[in-house]
Amino acid sequence: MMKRKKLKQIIKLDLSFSVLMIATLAICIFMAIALGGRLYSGAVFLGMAYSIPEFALISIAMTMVIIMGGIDLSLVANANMSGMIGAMILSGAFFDISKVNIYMLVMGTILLVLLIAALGGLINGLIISRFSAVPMIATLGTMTLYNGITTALSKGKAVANFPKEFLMLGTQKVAGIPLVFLIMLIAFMIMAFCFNRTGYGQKLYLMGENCAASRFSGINNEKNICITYTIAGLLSGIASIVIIARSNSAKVGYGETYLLQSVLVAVLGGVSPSGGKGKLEGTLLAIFAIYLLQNAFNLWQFTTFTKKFMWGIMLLLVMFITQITEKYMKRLQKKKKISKNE
Amino acid sequence: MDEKKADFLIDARKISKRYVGVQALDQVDFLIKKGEIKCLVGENGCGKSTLIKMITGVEKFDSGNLTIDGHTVGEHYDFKQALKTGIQVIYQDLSLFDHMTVEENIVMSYLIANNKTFIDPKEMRTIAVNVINKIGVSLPLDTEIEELSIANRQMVAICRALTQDAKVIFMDEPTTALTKNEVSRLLEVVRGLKAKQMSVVFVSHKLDEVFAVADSIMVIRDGVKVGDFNPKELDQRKLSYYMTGSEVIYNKYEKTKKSTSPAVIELKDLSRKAYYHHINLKVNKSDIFGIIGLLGSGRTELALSMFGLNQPDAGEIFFEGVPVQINSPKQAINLGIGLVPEDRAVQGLFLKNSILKNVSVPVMDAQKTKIGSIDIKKQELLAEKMRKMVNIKTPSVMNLVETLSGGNQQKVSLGKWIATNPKILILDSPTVGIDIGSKSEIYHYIQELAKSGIAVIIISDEIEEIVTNCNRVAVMSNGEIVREYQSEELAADSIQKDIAAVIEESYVQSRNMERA
Amino acid sequence: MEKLKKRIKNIPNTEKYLIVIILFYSLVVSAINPSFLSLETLFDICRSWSGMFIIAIGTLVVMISGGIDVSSTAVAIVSAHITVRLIIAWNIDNVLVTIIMVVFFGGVMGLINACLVQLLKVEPFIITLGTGNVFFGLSTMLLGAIQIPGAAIGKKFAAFGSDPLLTVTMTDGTQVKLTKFVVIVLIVVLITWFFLRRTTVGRGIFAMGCSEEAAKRVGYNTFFLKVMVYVYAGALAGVMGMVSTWKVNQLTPISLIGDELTIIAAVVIGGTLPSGGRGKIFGAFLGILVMAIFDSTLVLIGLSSSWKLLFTGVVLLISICATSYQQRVKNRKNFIFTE
Repeated sequence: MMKRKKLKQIIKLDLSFSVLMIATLAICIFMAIALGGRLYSGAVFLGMAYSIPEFALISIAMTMVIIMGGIDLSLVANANMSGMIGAMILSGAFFDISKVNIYMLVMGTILLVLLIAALGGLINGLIISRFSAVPMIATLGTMTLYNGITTALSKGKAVANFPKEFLMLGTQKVAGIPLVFLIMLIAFMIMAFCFNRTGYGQKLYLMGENCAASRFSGINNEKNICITYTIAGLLSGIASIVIIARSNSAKVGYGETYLLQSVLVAVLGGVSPSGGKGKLEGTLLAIFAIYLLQNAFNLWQFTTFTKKFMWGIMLLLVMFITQITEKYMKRLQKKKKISKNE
Repeated sequence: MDEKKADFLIDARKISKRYVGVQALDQVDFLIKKGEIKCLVGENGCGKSTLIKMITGVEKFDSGNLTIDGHTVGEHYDFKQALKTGIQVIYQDLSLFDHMTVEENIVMSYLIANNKTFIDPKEMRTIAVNVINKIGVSLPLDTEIEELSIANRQMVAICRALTQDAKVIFMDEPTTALTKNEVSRLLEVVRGLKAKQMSVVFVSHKLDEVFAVADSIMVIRDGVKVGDFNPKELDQRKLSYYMTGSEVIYNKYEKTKKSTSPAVIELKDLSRKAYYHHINLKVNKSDIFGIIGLLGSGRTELALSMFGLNQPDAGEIFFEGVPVQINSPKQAINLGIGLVPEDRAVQGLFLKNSILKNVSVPVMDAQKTKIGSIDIKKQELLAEKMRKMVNIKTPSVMNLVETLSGGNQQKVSLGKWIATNPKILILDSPTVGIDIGSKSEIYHYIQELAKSGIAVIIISDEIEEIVTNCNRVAVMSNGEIVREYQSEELAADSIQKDIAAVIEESYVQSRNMERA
Repeated sequence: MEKLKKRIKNIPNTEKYLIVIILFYSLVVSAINPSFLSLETLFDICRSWSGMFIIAIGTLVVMISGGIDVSSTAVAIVSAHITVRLIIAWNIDNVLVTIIMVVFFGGVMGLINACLVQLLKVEPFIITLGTGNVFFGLSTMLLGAIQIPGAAIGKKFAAFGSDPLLTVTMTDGTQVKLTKFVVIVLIVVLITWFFLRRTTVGRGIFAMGCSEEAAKRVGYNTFFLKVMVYVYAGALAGVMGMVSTWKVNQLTPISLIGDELTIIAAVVIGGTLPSGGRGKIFGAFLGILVMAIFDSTLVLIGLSSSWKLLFTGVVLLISICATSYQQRVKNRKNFIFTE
């Protein structure tokens, strides 16, 4: 009895999530009808499995931060910065790599990239928690700084030519599934566990809803802010490894569109832009839907401009639908109140 | 006695308003003469705010007649029109603009009410200076609001209301930081404008203030007008009776257990620049220690210091005999200190989360399964236990806290802290905005907690609340403890008047010192 | 003298620090490369950065009201694009009419922004994110993305961008030209100053930035205020789009996009409070000046242009930390814990 009641409540609480699922299903079915085998083919899916992970990792990071009530505009810049440093090491810009054990080099570089990216995230956390800077503005600052570091190091040019042992990461498959996709899945599962089942995850939601109340309840806001932004940085570091392994190059400005698209995807997935609500699962679902759409757009030969237009419209539409669902929910609640009072 | 319609500034008859499922106002009459000071009292949710909204045009009433200064209002009556007819409203949160200067805040009503498009700085300065002189205060015109003290901010709000040739001012709990003297002086000035026949309507829960200043008291209960009363024919008990419809007697707390040493918490010579200084107090097990003083006296700041949110500059805190430095709320909780904060909605609760979540927050880290994840079952059990313990009226602990009434929300806040098994619980203004029924329930639970051995500190500005519930009381003013009362003294009949006098006197002293 | 002293005292600390940084930096640069401190540099900066200053003022107004507009550059280039196409089609070659048209289109897009912000009740950041993409995507879908050279637009049109306002002949015979854009800048500055400081609506914008609820209670119509703010920002963005076109004597429909965050950065450097309620035109000016100086001088002191972002980032972060911390201290004094 308790279980059925719970299910009803869960659906009601996550009405937007349910709406999202229905919408995504609708899109998938529509696509199937419109494009059929051209879209739903093994080749396309395999292509997606290779190209989604870098974006998905950034989106997971963005989702985390938004749920906590902030935003991180420096994610892509951080990825590019740490990636650039790694790329320069791997291409021999700092020292002669032929003299070093190649596997040690690759491992070491990866670790260094992750460390730098995490540090980049930690800087965000410190500025936001110690100075109470508005997250959007603070991460705008670090984004500028990290882009600046990348530009200064690379002098604006792309860096390429990495050892093949490193590039393997981008192409390797495990049991038929691309390694990069697995990495993404593992990262997702770990983060989802954190969010749904750990105290840390609960605290993020609470901080996102009301950071004064969380402070008064004994939650250490500063610590959690730093942890979250550091993890976000780490995730963008993983993304950067994927990026440079797959594209065999690193340059400033790569993935510019990822930033705003990750916000779109989070919002589409049911995250409330002001924080406190949303699920990682929603984001993943939204990413899948977006990539399907992206491929469909390509098949329909939309120009970049048309795509931009579509993303913009979708964002606004999602906000509109969320508004309406909330109004509907409020009306339902009021009706409940009347039936109780009478 | 038949009063002619023309004698009344505001003549509202049979005002009714229904919200979804609730009759907020049922044929309420509201009459106020020119130059009259009328207090509107009633429990939380009785309809007094709704009545004010109707009269000030913020929302439309369903039926009834409203005549202001002889003119009956029509269909299109709205707030802007109300402003034009001479109505001014001062809200409880003052509605000032923090980053703007005193002058800019003061002249704002003037600009809007007179439909001014352009601003003449000289004119603005003149208006501001005039109104300040009219009231007889001194305010730094070019300072930003966020740099001012609470008392000064309230003055700015009042000045803003008076820039217009206001005919009637509605004040919603406006005087929390002002002494009775200052309130009286302010109202004297307002009455002094009797030549322009200005009226004042104010809502206050501080019954002693109500009695001191009102020409007449109007009581509303459950959306229905109980009556208009002359303050001389009422006392606090009668008034409570009219407000609630029943005799409410609060049980006085008697401490039976003996004090053990060391004290649960002891403050020695605690000081924090600009907030409080040289505070010495001891609270033992089963003590309910009351701290009373006006807003700005340092009482909340002191509470925050005991909870890790306001590091003291000097002095020591001893917890169970051991000197401690409390650097964060987490540390305070681990020691066994709990704080039910003043601002329930912003600091105390997560309104959009369930009761279950709210109750579990401070103890979340302790309720884990073996693999370190959150144990929902434990959280459920805890929430149910608290629900029963403090009688939270709700069908399910999964309901969102925002669906509860004020009284029940406060119970959630209380339950949350009881769940941490505190050794000492600090309650800051625990019954503000709560209906009398919930109030007495909460008093009961607090007293039960104390009887079971927990030390309690109650911070309040209601003398009756303090005297009923506490076995020791300290009066704070201007950052220091000016008088402490022990349980024998608290039994005296005249104690409430005594305490009121002490508060008054010490404030007057401190304001005189400020001016000197 | 007394008045001057009082004026200087009233300048908020952030701006004082910026002025010091700018002066110091300028001295260092001119020590290394004396050609920096010249009229030529000044006139160059005027030409290159007038447009940015104009759009920064629009962004400033939005941020004072508590909002944010990341669609500004999209509005800028789209309104310029539409206007150019129209004046070619209708054979108009009049600078004033051009400006009026571009202000109109920018204003219309601003109006859309305002309505959506009011209707959707979501962060303006998200909404303008969407509208920016919609404006840009739609216009390029419908109008294409071909570059149009100034000559094809009109003679007077092209002339406005290249003819100088005044020419100064230096001691060594070279001629230094001051662009006509400064006239536009001055007009915009004056209008904005008057709007913000001498009108009730302007006060209302500050009030709404402090607290929308309180502004409503005092009697302001907050929707009207939002419309004013976003329309004004849109109009100024339009002007900037046209100035950019004049500057390079060519309409490039895909230019400007991506600079919106830089503009916000400049406004923030200048001491504007991102949550609203406080901001000065002078601050925005200093913010733009900082960026302008870095932009043109890094080369002069021997650093390649790839260091520009780095310097900007550092200054931006310092400014953010300083302004935010100031506010935090004030909040804690009043026991506000809402950040």
